[in-house]
Amino acid sequence: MRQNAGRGLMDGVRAINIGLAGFADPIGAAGAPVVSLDWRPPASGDRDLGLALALLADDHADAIGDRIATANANAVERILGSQASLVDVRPAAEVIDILSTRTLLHSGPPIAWPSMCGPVQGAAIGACLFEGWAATANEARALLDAGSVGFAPSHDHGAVGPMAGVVSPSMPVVVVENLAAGNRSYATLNEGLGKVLRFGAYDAAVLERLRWFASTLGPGLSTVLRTGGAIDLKAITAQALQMGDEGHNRNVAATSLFTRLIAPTLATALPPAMAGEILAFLRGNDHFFLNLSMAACKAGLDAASGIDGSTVVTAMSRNGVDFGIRVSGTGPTWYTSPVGVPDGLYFPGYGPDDANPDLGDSAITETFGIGGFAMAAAPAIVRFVGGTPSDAIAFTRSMERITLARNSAYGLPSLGFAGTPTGIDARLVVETGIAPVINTGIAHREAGVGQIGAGIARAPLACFEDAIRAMAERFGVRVAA
Amino acid sequence: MTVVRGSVHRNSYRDSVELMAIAAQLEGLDGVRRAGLVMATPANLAVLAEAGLADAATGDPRPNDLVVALAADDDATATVALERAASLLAAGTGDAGSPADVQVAQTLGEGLAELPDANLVLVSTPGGYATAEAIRALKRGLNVFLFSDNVSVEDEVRLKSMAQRRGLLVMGPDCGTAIVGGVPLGFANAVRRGPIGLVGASGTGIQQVSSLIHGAGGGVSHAFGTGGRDLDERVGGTTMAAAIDLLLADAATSVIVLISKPPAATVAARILAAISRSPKPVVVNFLGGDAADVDAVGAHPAPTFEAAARIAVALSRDPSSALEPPNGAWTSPDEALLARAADAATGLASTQRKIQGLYSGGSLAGEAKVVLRAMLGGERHDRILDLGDDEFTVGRPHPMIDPRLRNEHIVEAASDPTVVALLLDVVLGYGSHPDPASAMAPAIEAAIATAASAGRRLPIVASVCGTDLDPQGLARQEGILAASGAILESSNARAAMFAASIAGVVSDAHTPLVGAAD
Amino acid sequence: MRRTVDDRLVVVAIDEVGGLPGGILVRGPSDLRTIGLAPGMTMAPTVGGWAVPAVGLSIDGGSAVPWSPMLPAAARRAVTAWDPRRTAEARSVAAGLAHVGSLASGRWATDDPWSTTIAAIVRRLVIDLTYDAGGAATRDAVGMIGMGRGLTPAADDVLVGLLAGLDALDHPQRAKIAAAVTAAAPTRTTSVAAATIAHAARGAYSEWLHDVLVASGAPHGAGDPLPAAIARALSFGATSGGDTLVGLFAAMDVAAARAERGARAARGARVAA
Repeated sequence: MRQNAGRGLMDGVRAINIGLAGFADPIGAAGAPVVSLDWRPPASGDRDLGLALALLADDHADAIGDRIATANANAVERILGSQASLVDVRPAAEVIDILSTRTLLHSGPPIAWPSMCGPVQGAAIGACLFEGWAATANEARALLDAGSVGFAPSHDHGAVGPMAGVVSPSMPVVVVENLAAGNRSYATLNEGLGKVLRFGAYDAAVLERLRWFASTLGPGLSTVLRTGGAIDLKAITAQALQMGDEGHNRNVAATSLFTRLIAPTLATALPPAMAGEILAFLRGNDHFFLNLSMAACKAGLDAASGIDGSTVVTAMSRNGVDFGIRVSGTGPTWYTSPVGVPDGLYFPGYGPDDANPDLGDSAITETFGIGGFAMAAAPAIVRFVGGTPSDAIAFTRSMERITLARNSAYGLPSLGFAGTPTGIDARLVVETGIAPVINTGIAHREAGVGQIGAGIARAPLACFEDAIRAMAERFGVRVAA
Repeated sequence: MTVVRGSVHRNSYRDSVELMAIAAQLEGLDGVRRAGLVMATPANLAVLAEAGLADAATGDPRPNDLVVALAADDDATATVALERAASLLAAGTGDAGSPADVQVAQTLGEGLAELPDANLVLVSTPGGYATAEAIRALKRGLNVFLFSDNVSVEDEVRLKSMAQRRGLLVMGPDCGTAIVGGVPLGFANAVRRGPIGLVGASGTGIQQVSSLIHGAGGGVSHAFGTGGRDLDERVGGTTMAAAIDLLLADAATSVIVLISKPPAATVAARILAAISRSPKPVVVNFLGGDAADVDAVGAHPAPTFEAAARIAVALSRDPSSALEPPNGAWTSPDEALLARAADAATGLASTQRKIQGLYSGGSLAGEAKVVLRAMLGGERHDRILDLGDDEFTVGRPHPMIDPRLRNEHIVEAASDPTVVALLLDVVLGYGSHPDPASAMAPAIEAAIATAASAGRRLPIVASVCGTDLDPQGLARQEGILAASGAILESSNARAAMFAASIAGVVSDAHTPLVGAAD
Repeated sequence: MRRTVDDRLVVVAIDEVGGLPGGILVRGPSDLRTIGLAPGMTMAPTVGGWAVPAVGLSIDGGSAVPWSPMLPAAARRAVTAWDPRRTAEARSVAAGLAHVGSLASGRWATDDPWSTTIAAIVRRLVIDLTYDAGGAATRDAVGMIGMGRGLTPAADDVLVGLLAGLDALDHPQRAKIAAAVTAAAPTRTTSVAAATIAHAARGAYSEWLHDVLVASGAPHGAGDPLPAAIARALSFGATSGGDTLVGLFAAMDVAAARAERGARAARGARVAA
């Protein structure tokens, strides 16, 4: 029994016109509604990939399209439904299994010691010194050259870290629990600006700060959380987005809110001297909340990972050499592409020649729909690239074109409290050619110099194209190479 | 009254985008009719002169100078505009005031956000990308008008089976025209609405039949294009069968017309089976096909597009009418036409034996061949060219859009002493050249003059496929062509009969000379 | 930025622009106008470099690396090796990215006499070059010099692209056209454009143009370099890059049409034999 073809057509044409613009004119002149697309070849003009993309498009009438649509709806629901809560601060080795061996975690997709960029190598040396595996930088380098220290991406072990993102066993990490799914994520404590391990510095002051983290800040915060109870990170971010933060490059509002929340318990549960030191540190570090924000995003996105058929992006990260993404449907697999230097504003005395290619796990915030995706909340950020407040809104608007949902928990005042664009669909990125926008700091290419600027980076499209090729292959959709 | 003014800016450099922006700003001023900013090269000055702006370039400008040329309603306006131009040039880039926050839909998904209840997608992207766009449309439950060509037959089969499963229609690939509920798609003529529904594998076939229906006072409910390969064995006539079902179910349609080259046998069986059960009268024009098969299923065979249109109009007025061809056969000319053809053949030389057809519409060329074969037999050297064929259009626009290529052929044919008549089609409608007759008239005049200078007469027979409602206007186009010396017939079939009659007269008159048997 | 003491055109551009005939690539701000450089300035050679006296700027040539603007072997192909589908693809990518109103966009106001006229001449050139009508092609090529908007009028850029394409496919009429346009250009167009045409006529083209030619011969598929090469070409000048591509695509059409013609002739020969 054949269905009658031409569904809906006989009650009047309502047309979308792709290609020759002139074809719309007679349709409009005949009184029929018509929309002409500003069409351009999808997938950077790669016909075969464009065809694969079409075959992977949502469609409840075919097996592939139905599976992807359902899987993506599921993934988005898990991201939006995540409830990140800061429950504790523990030494990393206690909560991250792999750190019970002599291993360091690093940011971005996997990379071996010899290939690492300057800042990551510096941070690894610093971590060896901090752990007491080596007494001098030269000793540490020899140890690392000999391959006596293991490396693994933080992302593969539930953790995230900004910039170099090096996590060693004795470092205290925040423990964030996604109350909706029960999974946990981890991040180091933010060191502030200046000479810091995450930019590859490892002098005495850096190591001294790390020791203070282990002896005072970490245990202090742990006591506060155990005494005063877990802290709802989602609520802090929601408020901060209405106070000029975007959750990646501007965290001053969230840090202030966080400090205000813990202050009473801090004052009562800790010795006054300890409480004073901690409050003084928080006062001087506008970015303290960044690492909490990252862990919260990681907890939500890990819950959405590994859903068969889903094309939702669950991680975007950089190790200073490669940019890597993960897509829900292929779980922990990384799709990588060389990473470039961000477009941005440099501190006096520095320029693009000094910059390290983009670095860090912090793009997890954009993956979750804040940071660059919430630029409309933080117009000040676009100053980094010479933009205006309307450019900030345009950034957020353009990210709506590559995402599947809006996070109504994160309303943006300048957009009439519309939610942040959430749930990057790799298919939409490839189809539109719109690369996710990432707010980022710029590190000096030499270890230890520190941050030399800030700016805006774009994820390389090639990663997303590779992910789509892999998904196509999984579904048996043939893509000629 | 218009004044032309200009200014010359010595050794002034601006990039072309800035110049376009400044010209656009000047043209936005009240009273400014035209503005052009170009380097004062001889070629640009010539273009300015042709555009009536010659007076703008005064003072012997050199190629390295920038000329601002203006046409304005009066002197005062021109002065203001020139001052504005000077200040914009001094200030650098004019502020284009770009509407940065206006987002134009780029993908089908974004288009659907603007028009959520869309039911049709027109695809005319380069062929390599068309299949993907059509798949997207079908997946979203939308019917497809696929204008793009260069879509493989495998892709066509895939698209049509996807469409069939979803109850959707794919018109195309390489579908030139359709009319759905009075809305023209692609290259369509503006025709009255009425009870006749068309399904055709040929774009110009649909255009000719629908125009002739309109001309005969009838009207069209819908016209569905199927694409040229639909009745191929591999595709199986999927779209034609689906479109027939649509028309059978459509209350506004009382007569159905099918237009195609003869289908593959298995496909023909499927289509004929479908129409054998039709309660509505069906007219079948399988160009060059066998009438007996059509008769056998109770449908009305029509050998030409004109026959299809006239039979359909008659049936739409009286379903039981059995319209017979006026002169015994639809490919037989009437007395009046024969008399005029004999007139036109007066004084043609014995060497003139070959009919040269220069067509922009492939199916119209096909129809001409059918008529010539029926009237003159197969053993002839007539040359009917389809200049819209890929062979002629590599790197060039289609002759329906740009008559230049055909004009060259028309003039060239005039110097061929063996040509007895030139046969032309002119296709009007949306998408076609805005004034094809005016564009062709000089070539027709040149051809007639060329033949005359060689001591010959060259009859040029043309028909215009179009209606009085078309943007180009049927009567106006016919008038221009007639004034240029062409002989106008009301349909392509009649034009072909006219040319064949001329050839017949000449050949009869000179038979003894060439000693042809018979 | 033109005119050295021996009256030749020199183009100063930043490194990212890539190799240019008669070009000097320098490290500097992305818009050289911000340091006072402007088109039309006079340059003078110095010991070990060049100077722009008007803005007190000197360019150190000590570490300069020479680069050849002549077509690399990878850009040259027989007429049968020009896939018309690649041309169509390149054209469509260019049309999507080009500035609306420019030739490469294919979209301009119907009353724009320059684009309309140039497009018509290009169509004629394709036909003439397909059928080796060298005289007609040369007349049209010379006739279009200096036509259109811009410091290098659009038609001049089209000519450059056409000459490059004809060079790559080794067209028998190229030398004739090249000689004629070189002779005619100095009195018919801006000095910048005349210099560019002269470079192209002797076989010297910008690096981005080399890249498009090479990329158009690469296989389609993953890692296809063509779209990126087209995008880069379009970023040259305001519309110059796109106008140049229009000429190049015309040459590619000529190649495809000649190949098709050759194939038909061969088929005909077989039938005849």
